Amino acid sequence: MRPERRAVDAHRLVGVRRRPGTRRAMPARGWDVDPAPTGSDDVEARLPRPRATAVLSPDLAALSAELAIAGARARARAAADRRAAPDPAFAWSLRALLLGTSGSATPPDAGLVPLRPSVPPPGARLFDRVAAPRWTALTAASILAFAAIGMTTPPVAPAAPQAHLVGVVGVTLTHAGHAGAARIGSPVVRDDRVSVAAGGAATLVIGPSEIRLAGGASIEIERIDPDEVAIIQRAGRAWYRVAPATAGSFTVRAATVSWTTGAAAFDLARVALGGGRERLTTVAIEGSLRFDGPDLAGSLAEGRRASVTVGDELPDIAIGDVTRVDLADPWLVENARLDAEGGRPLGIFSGLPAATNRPPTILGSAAAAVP
Amino acid sequence: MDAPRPPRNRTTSPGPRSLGELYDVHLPRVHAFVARRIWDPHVVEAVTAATFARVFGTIRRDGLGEEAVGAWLYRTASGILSVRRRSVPQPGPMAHDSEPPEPAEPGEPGWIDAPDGDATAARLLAAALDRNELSRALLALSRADQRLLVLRFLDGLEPDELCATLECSRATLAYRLRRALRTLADGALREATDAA
Repeated sequence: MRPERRAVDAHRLVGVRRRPGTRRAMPARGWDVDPAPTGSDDVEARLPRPRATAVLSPDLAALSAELAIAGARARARAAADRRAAPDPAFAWSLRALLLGTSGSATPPDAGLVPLRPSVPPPGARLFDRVAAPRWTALTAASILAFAAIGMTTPPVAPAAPQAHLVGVVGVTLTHAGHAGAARIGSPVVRDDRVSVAAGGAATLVIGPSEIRLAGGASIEIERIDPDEVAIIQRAGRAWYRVAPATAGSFTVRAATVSWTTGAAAFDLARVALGGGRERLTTVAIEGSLRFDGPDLAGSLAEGRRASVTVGDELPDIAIGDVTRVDLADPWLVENARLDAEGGRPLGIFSGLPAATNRPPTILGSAAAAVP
Repeated sequence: MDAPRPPRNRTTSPGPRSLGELYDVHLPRVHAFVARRIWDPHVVEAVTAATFARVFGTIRRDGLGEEAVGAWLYRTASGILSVRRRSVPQPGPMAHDSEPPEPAEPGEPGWIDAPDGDATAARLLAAALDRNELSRALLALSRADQRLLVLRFLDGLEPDELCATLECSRATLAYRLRRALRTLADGALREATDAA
């Protein structure tokens, strides 16, 4: 037998034992086998040991039982503290986010939408809460209403993209002047502000687009309309992945400068320099964008970076190619990899190695979460 | 293990209903798995959500693979938890001749001081043991042995799930488990002797 073949056979044999009363070897299902590790190059070492050593010795079996009892006790304690059980509101929101449906007729009571009682979470089927007979009445009323006004009304306008948070660590969501801890699935609407604590992170989805905020970043939703999405970046750093179907245009304002695109990926960092001056650094990762400001207008093509200093009388701008420093920037590389997982074009990061073997990050990409 | 297994052969992407069933079955277990390692409930939810988003996204794209979904989820959650300390690069001047941004140091802005989840879980298991010498011996084990025993006895993972989480063969798993138990037994004996 050739060594390669023996190695395969040995690997298959390891962990196989004979059930009592049978002649045929069956795959082991329990814990009482004791083969040698398969990491060795020595084929003989991979062969199964004699049966006498293939079971746990009595002292180890007793120790194993003791640990199992302790483990069950620890799990029970954790369950009693309600730490181990997912919050019903969280479970419901995540389910809706992952599957696009709520999956249950009624949402849980506890803290379903703690920050926005009037707005259902994304994916929530509002009419699940209405009893069947009322459905009939609603349907009939709708038909009558449409029949009455259908011929005179203009075509239905396209819906505005929905926005919600899909990744939340240390995030505060301010809505109507009230600030609270954001949760996964929290909807975000016009005039809301998302602020990330230092060391935190957030991922905000707006329709098919995505904004990833680094620690210390803060953005405000200026508009979410079918024809325009406008974001005000108050502070920090954010990666914008603007998908074509989001809206007519996607604008990010920072200080006195606006960045507009229809579809692109770009990174914008806003840093205070002191003395009322700030530096806005934008890197066009994929696609191009347009910028406007006081005495300032132009476009930034893919692979270009712009550094704008504001706070003086007029902005001062410097434009150049992205550098190897940019290409090695962990924040940019991380976000590019997350985009790659979602099958999105990578632009200047097209040669990025596949991300399948890297350790996943805390937040991950919303691309995988949004159906 | 009471968790149902997905089909063993690669199939077309499952629809929302089957994904929903997988979600309903595995969410409590995966959430509990994370909650035994992380105390901050917000981080627990973030890690749980990231785990499901990653696995379900792959299932949607590639279909169900050979691996059981439960094992896959544990391995993914474990990988996320293994990023114990993560430095978020801070924005700064990006001049052409500047060096790449330095990672933040502990205590600086941008530093995520995520707890050591495996150590937290080991302490949880140790606290539930009746014998003090055994608790001390458990906490004195190597990280690898500690992790294995915690996954097996605290989290109650089955062999397939353990193999997937630890990324080893079943044979290696059995060997490592026996070795860890032996080390623990010897350590407990030493602790008892020292105490006497």
